[in-house]
Amino acid sequence: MKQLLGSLRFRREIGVLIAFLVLCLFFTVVTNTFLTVPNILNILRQVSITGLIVMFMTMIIISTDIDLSVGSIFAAVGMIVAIFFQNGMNIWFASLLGLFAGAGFGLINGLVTVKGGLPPFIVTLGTQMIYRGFALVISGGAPASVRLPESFYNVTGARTFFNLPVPALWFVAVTLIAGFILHKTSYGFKVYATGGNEEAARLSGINTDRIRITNFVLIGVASALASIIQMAYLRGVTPTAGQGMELTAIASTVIGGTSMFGGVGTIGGAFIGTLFMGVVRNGLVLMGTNAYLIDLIIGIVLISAVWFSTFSTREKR
Amino acid sequence: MTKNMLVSYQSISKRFGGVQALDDVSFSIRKGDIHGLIGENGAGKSTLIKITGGIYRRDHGQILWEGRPLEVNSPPEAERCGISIVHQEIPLCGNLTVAQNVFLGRLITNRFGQPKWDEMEERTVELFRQLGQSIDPRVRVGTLSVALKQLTAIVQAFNRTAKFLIMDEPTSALTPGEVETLFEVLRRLQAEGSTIMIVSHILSELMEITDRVTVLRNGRHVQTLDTRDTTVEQLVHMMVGDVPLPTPKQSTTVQDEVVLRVRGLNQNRLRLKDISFDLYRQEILGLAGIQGAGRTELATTLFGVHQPDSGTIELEGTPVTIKNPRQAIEHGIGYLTEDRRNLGVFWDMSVWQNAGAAIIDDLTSYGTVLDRQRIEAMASRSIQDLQIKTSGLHQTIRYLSGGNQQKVLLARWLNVKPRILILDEPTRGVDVGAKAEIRKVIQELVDQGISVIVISSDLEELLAMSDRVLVMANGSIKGEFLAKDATFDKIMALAVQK
Repeated sequence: MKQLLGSLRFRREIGVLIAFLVLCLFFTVVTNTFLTVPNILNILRQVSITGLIVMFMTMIIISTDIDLSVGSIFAAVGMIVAIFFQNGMNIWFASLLGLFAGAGFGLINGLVTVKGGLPPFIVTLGTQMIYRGFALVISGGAPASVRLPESFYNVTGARTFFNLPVPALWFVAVTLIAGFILHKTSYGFKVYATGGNEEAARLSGINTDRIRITNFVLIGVASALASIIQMAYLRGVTPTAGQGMELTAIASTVIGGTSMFGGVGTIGGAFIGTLFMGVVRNGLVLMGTNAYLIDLIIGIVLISAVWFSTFSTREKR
Repeated sequence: MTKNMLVSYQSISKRFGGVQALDDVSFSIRKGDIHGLIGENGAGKSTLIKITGGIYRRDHGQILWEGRPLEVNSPPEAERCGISIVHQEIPLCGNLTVAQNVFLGRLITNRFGQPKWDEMEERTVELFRQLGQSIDPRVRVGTLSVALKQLTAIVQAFNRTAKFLIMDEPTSALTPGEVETLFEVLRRLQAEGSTIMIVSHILSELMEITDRVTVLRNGRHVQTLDTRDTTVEQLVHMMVGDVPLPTPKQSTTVQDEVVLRVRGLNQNRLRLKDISFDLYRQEILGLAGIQGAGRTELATTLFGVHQPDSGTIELEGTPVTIKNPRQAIEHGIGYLTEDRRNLGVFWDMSVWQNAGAAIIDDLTSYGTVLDRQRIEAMASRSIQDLQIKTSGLHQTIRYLSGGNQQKVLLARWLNVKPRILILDEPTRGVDVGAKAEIRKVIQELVDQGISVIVISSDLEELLAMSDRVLVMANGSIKGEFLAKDATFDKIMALAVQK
């Protein structure tokens, strides 16, 4: 029974998993550095920051919303934490405030979208500019560098046993947490119900407004966490960080089999989608591809991957 | 022989996952006939129609169209062949006008490609006049009643000059008068050489209009025969096999205690006026009325979807304000929607998820983590109690037949363990066998102490089920009968009042 449940749940993602494996095989053959431990750890670290956000982007798209402001929340929270820290605040406390700020930004997105009855695309497009502007204003447009205490750096940005990058561990841990929330709790059930048929969910007594707002808060917190980890790794923040991050996150989500129409998608798929995006970019760089060509190729790969996964798992009629 | 046949189905088979929807079905439809297609829900009628219309592909067999093999792989291809389908649930563009919908995809344009709306509007009015209806062709379809939407869809198909018109439950939302009009038009079309296949659960109507009838059961062809050579009783028997027919209500369990007391309820936007009634413990209270009488509006207002502008609602003697469905559920009220497609089913979710949606927090441990054991217990109890035909609790509900989907939704509300259950058209589009089962379940609930309000457009059924019947018209209650005193005539006389 458990296996049946698992196989049904991942059916949509099989196509993309196959594409992912083929891609890995291809890069393994054409480069001699792709399938090496350092490179794989490197890919994991590279995707981990956006990956934290992808998990909750998946959740929000399943409930038929979207958040375009994640990159700006990412920048604004980074600046907030850095400024508090530079002004003598304890970094742990500053980070906690940063997480609260992320939750606050998400709450604003959620309240305006849900209670105001506005399209989330427009609302978060607006707050994308607002939060970005906020980051620029409080920083005066200048990057800030931070000299973090060792104890903080060790649990956020460093490398640990077996040379594992800590951000990658955060990514895996958050993936597991998100997977638990979405697939094992009644909250996750309500996310699917809200996205699958909001009116039916309301008639079944589900507080769909609360679910949608909570999703916005969760992705705000995830963006804040990603920002703090990135800050620790880079030992600095810039107010222009995270531009285009929302698009990478949405692309990873969709590659992972989540439907833009809502109601369908999994965290397992989102995880594969995230790695997929990272592997394509990494592999192309290792092949020595012209830097100007990389985005062009990634765009083609994105569409092909989604086409392949929908084609290979399309309902037989 | 085949010369006279417009369509011949030859050994058609179709499988969905573990369900054999059609199994070696062969029969023919004579040119110029009105052909009835009947069978219980899940018998394969919808599947057969969708294969004919190019929506599904058959696994085996072939269709002959005027003696030649027919290959249609999409609805537009089917339409080019002259096959038009009026579906049970009508896809119209609510944001467009009646005329725009009728001429959708085949606009009349001038030399420069500009649409000639005046001409299309005139033609629309003319098409409706043929149906004996008048319409403002510039009204947006989204604002029309269900009956007029359906009529628009029918007119749309007429306008496409279909050689073969398939009508899936065309009469379920029409008043008796509108049904008569429709039949007149069908006969006129027949006289002009069109062939029509009509799917309906209302056998008396089919006896009136069809030349031949085909019966399907469990995906298999039972018989195709001339209508004049058979009777309703024979057809029912062919549809259900050897299942005893439901007997009318005999026992009565009604208690003296008032469970729900509604006084002076007004809802201006929904045009509910001065609604007052009592619901007794263990009573089945029927709400009769024609489409648009305000029955669904009353039900959804009691369920907290809409707020009354004035009036009081008392539950077991305590006045309550119900702000949303969640509060209604907390008060022990359940509401089975009439609009299964849009307001009921979660299409991408499984049987257990659909059955458990209203009690999901109770299927957890620690209040949050889904509990496999509770889920499986809930789901197998629902599947067993309601005899839901499914390959398992993880089956996606999309692949169940309409009747089984309805049972899953009923299970959702039984799982709530309600004190008061409001059932809005619980047996609409459900076959005879499933109807009897659903009615039996409702009676069992009442025996266990629940009170039920039933809305049904099937008067016969309403009288057979209910202890008492309220008749609504134009947003208010026009009269009340004990079921044993009520007759069709008395009820209809009140229902058509202004």
